[in-house]
Amino acid sequence: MSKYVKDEQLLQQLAYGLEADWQRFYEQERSAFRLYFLKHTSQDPEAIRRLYQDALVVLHRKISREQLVAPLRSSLRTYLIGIGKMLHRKQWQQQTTLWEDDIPEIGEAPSVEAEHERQAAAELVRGLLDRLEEGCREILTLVYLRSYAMDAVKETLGLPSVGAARKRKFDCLQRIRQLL
Amino acid sequence: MIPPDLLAQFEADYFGRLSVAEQQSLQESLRARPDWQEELRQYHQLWRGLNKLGEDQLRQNLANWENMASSTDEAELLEWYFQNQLSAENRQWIDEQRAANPAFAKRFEAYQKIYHGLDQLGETQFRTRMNEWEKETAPQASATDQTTGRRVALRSYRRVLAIAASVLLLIVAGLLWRNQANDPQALLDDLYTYPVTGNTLGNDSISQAEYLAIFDQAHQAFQQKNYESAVELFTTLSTKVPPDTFVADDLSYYQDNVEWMVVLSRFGAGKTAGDFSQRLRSIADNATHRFQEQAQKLSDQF
Repeated sequence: MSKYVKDEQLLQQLAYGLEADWQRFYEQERSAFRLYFLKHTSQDPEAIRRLYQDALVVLHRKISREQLVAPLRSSLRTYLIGIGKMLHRKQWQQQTTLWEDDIPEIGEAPSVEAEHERQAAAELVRGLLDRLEEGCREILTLVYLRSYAMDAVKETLGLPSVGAARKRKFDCLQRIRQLL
Repeated sequence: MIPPDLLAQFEADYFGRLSVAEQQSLQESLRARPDWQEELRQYHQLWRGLNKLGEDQLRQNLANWENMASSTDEAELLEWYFQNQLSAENRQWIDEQRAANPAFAKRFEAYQKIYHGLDQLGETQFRTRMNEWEKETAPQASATDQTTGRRVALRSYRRVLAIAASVLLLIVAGLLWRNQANDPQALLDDLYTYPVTGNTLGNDSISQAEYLAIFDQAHQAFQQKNYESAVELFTTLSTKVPPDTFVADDLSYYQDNVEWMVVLSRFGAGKTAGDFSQRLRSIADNATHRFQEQAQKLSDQF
């Protein structure tokens, strides 16, 4: 039996992709994260606010790409703070910070894509999305921009099955590619 | 053209979902089809762009949630300061703010008085409660059997009255629930409120006008009990990127309204299978959602 049943239920909820669940998680974890880094680092509240958002982005990416799945080896809070520690080390190059607890470090593969390349790609795709018909724009928005799980896409769009949702997604992906 | 099954694998590879063995197998497929290289490069470009757009949208949401959550930050920070929970550097940071910012210094002193007062008050009240417990237990220790017996009987009588009152309350609540549960329309009427619109700031744009038109149309459908249509319209709205003329308050207002109305419309249309329970629960459990109370009521009935 997993030690983190409640956290795994929460993980499943977050993986579904609904914004309301992510917002609640954001508000729920905010104080604990802030206090941890205000206590153990020299960073000011504004820097820690940015660190929290960066950590949430990483966690969101891991969950929506199914890189964090049950069974969990720690609570989600511990995991999120671990991401914060990893980002703190990268951002402030502080190898010598002595963490007074056993929240593990989380390794993260460095991104090989420069920010300006990603920005240019985003602008290109934004224009392409505007040229797509409504149905395709809807499904690509849900899947890629809002990170909805296929179950959630199927329910939201009233499709008969997850397979049908996946097929429509790839049909639309092919259509947007043809606009390139 | 890359077939959909393989395209799904290329996408999984791009987003880091494949094992090493799966990646190698995929690379071999690609080596066998050099005519797919250019097409794959284009998909990489699309995924890169979609990924960045998704992240931008997430960061916008995070910024909005941050604005809503940060109103109590200063009080919370000072509480940690007074509780000695901050690092030495952050204590120093606060002391520097006090020295540099007279308005902050005043607020610091005010919070200091409040927290100190609350501390003292808490201690005083706790002492008072301890004295009361002392009085309650002391007489019992020296009571005669008769007295004790009467006290026990009185307590039991009070207990019986309390239990009876609770049971009566449950019966009445159950009757009320059954009445409402037997009449879904009464429940829908009770849980629905027409939104206050017209308070949106910013310039009117085509996209904002379109969004508001669909919003109004959806509510009209609901009011006319055309729940199927209401489901369709509210669901459409929930998938649209909101107008960029909406400020954070507007965004939050409309998002809460649309989220709740998707659920209420589906209830009206009898479409309560699938993820209905999950959507309802996520609103009912969200203390900052404008329709938490209504969602909890529906959840209790449902």
